[in-house]
Amino acid sequence: MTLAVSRALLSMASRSLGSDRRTWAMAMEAEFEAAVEDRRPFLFALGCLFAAWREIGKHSEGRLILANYALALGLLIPMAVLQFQQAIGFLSSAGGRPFGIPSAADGPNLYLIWSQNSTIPILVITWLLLGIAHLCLAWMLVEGDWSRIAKCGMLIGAAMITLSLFMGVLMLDLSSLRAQVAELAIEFVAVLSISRWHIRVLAGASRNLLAR
Amino acid sequence: MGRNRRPSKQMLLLLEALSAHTQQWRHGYELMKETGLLSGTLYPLLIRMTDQGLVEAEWREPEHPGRPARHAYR
Repeated sequence: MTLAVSRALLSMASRSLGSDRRTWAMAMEAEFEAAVEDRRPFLFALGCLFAAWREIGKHSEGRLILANYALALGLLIPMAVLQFQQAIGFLSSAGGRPFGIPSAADGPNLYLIWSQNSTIPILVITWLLLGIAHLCLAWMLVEGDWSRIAKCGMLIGAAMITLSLFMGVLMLDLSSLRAQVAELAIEFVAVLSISRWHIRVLAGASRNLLAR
Repeated sequence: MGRNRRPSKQMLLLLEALSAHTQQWRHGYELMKETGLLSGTLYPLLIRMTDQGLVEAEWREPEHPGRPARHAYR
């Protein structure tokens, strides 16, 4: 168990070092065997992880990795939580007064209540899908899988359009979407900026490799 | 522009260990045992010192067949 955890820590350290410091990552991996023989793999691997994190901010690839984690943890995951909360909010308000309708003098419109309540499952599923898509986006961003990031982004866009249509036409209430749309716009700009930074870092790394 | 700062206690320990046998190649784990430095301290020092040209580093064939090559320093 300790050995497995130690190997996982060392693997994280190797990935954190990036392509610039690939030699040092391999050096640590080679010395890990000596640490295993000395029965101190965990301490060695933990130290290597700290060493890797100390190096991470010193090179462009490391700064990009940090930015990816900051975006994933600081924006995408909170967005996912917000969307799950919206889904739960819809569930708990099912069967109540119609949304977006000011108090009618003649009492509640039963047809309207019925039609709006019948859309709640679709809205709940769409909000949940949005939340899951954001979690997937955060994971893919950290992994650097840009083709899947693009697909995930399209799914999020499609889900938002669906939500806007349903909520605008049936619920007559877009208030909960306004903040989401603004946040999505910020998210889009952030992910686009990071993708351009990624391209610049890759181009720089390729130039360095060719120069060697 | 790099900062000029005095070498740390840990760097002096490492320099002392390396300068005791200047022509001898030493592996990272051996240096750890000799200096008492942990890997989290040793490797940043080795990286910095290698970048600055204070330490040479190269891959050495393993002592036992079937093991990976190890990085050595002097």
